[in-house]
Amino acid sequence: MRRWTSSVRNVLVRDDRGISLAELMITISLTLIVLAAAWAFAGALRKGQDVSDREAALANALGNPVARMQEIVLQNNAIDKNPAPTPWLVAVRTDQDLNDVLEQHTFAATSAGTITELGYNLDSGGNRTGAPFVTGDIGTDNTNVGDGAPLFTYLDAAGAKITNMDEVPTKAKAIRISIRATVAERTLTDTSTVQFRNRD
Amino acid sequence: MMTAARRKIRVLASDESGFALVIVIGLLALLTVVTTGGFFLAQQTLHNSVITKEESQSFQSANAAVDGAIANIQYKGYDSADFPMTFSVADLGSGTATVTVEELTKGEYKLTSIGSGAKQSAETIKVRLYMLDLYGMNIAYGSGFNQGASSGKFNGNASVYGPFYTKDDLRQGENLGMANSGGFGWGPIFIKNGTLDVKSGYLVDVKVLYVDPAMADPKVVSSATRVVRSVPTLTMPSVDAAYLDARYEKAKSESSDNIQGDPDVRTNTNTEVTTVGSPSTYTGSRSAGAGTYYKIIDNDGMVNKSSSGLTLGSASFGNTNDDFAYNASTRQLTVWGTVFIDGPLTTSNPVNYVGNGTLVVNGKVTLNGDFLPLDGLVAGEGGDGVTYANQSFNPDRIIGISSSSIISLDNSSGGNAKNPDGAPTHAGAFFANDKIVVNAKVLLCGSLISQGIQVEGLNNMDLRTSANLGKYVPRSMPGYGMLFQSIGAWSRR
Repeated sequence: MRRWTSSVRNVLVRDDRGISLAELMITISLTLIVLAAAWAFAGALRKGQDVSDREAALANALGNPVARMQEIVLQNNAIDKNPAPTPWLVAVRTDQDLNDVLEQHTFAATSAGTITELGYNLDSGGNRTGAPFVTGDIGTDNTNVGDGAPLFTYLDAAGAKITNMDEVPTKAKAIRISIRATVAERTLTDTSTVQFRNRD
Repeated sequence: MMTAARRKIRVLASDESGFALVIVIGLLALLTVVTTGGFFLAQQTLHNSVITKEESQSFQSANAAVDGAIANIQYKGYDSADFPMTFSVADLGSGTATVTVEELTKGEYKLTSIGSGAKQSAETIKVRLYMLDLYGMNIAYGSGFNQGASSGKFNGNASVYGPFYTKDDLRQGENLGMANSGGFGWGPIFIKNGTLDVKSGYLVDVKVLYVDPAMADPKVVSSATRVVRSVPTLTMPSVDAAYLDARYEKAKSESSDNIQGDPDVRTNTNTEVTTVGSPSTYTGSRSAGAGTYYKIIDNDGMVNKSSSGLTLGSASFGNTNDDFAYNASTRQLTVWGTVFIDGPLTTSNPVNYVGNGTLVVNGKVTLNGDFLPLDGLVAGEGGDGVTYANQSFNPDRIIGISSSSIISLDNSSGGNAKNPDGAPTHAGAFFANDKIVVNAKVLLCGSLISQGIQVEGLNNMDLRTSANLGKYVPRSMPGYGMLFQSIGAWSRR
């Protein structure tokens, strides 16, 4: 009996001091390593997510509206006089399907911080027909109006700036789009000059 | 007692193992969640990048393909069998594209290019392309179409059938527009730096009206007329020193070649060699004032307008078996190949001509009478696809006149037929560097090309293009073989 009791005690003491402590230390070490790795990975993910979010915001504020305006302005047939062009508004005519049904696209920067697009079909007299086929905001966080910075600069055949807005419909051969937006408290700008393809 | 102690020991041992395992499994689960989230985030970013790349590839493919198709047409000419035209990755470098074509009107095509990236996303580019024979048009490319006697208006019962290109506003006066009483037919009309300014009810029966996008909307347009807000710029040939020198040399060589005209054009037998013999028999005897070479009217061997030119009047010259002859009694003019006149050209009477040739005139041209191919024109297809009388040229009866200054049409036997099948008073190809002045009631079938067309006095003139003049126009005319090619509109969807 004494031998058995002594034997059990020895085993228990040996096991408690050896195996469980080692296991605990290894477990704690592994836990710390894994937690550290997870923390670092999560941090990287969070940073990646932040970058992704910021890029999405930039796309909404700068990239998407510039790309859309480039696509339409590039193929315009004429700059309309009604509504008259300004540094923050331009209405251009297109015929995207080359079916001789003209469309009028109006792009405007607003004081509410958006860039809007309105699209109408036109009749042969240049009048709007029906409801707009495009309407809505194509850009957010815009500060062109608030900062007093022109969104559109009109250029003549020599690349010179046209200052008299009355001359824009007849003389403009290109438009410089300079967009400004404030995203995450940072003011960002992007500029693109679009030459008209449908001009000589 | 012993059993309870063992169970306790086992439980303790078991709990210790499980605790660690649970922690590890939990951490692994956490790691899995975090990793999976990261994977999907990366996937989303990759997806967005791929979409952007795809759109770019598709657009670039469509754009490159349509440029390739246009280049192919410009190089080989339009052949409907070439379409749909497909472009592979090997052709374009990244995506693929297919170009289809639709003929909108005669000489006007709509090309549609659909480009695809590697993932089959699509971008569409459409292009409107014009291809018209230069001598299938009437063109006032410089100072425009001017009717001096009517303050720049296109007045009276005048008519213009066929492609017409002019600068500045095209205006009509008070008396134009009743059906079959003049107006604009067939078309298309191109108005560079201007618009159409006519009054309500006037006849503008053209399929397409091209108006400068920067100018005002055309005032009156039939619902059947498409208005295209794009007018191409013409790059025109010129009767300049280089052209004159080249034609002088050509006339010189043709004066002793024993070939009547151009064998590629002529459909009858070459009579020159069999009836005249040695080139030396041609020398200097075919017309008054002729120099050494019978196809050159000159007095000093230089291109300097030094000679008194040529008058086709009461004096006959030449042999109709040769390249250049005139019979004063029948008023028949024979011109094959190139004839060079280093001075003015005047006709005193109506002229009927045979041959396929060019009168290159280094001076003013004055036509004091009708100027027509012998036996007139034959029936052919008009610009509206309908067959009319008096439309087409016989390839062996087309004369072109190119002038370094002015061509003046001063007399006519009739004209003012107004309808598209009226018998012409003048027919051929006429190119003047400075301007073409119309002083008579002419009905001209063919082509007037100059910086300006000026209509004076009797302004009830009629202009009509011919469907086959561009094909058979004499080879020494300025811009021979030149196609009026231009991209009129470009769009992206």
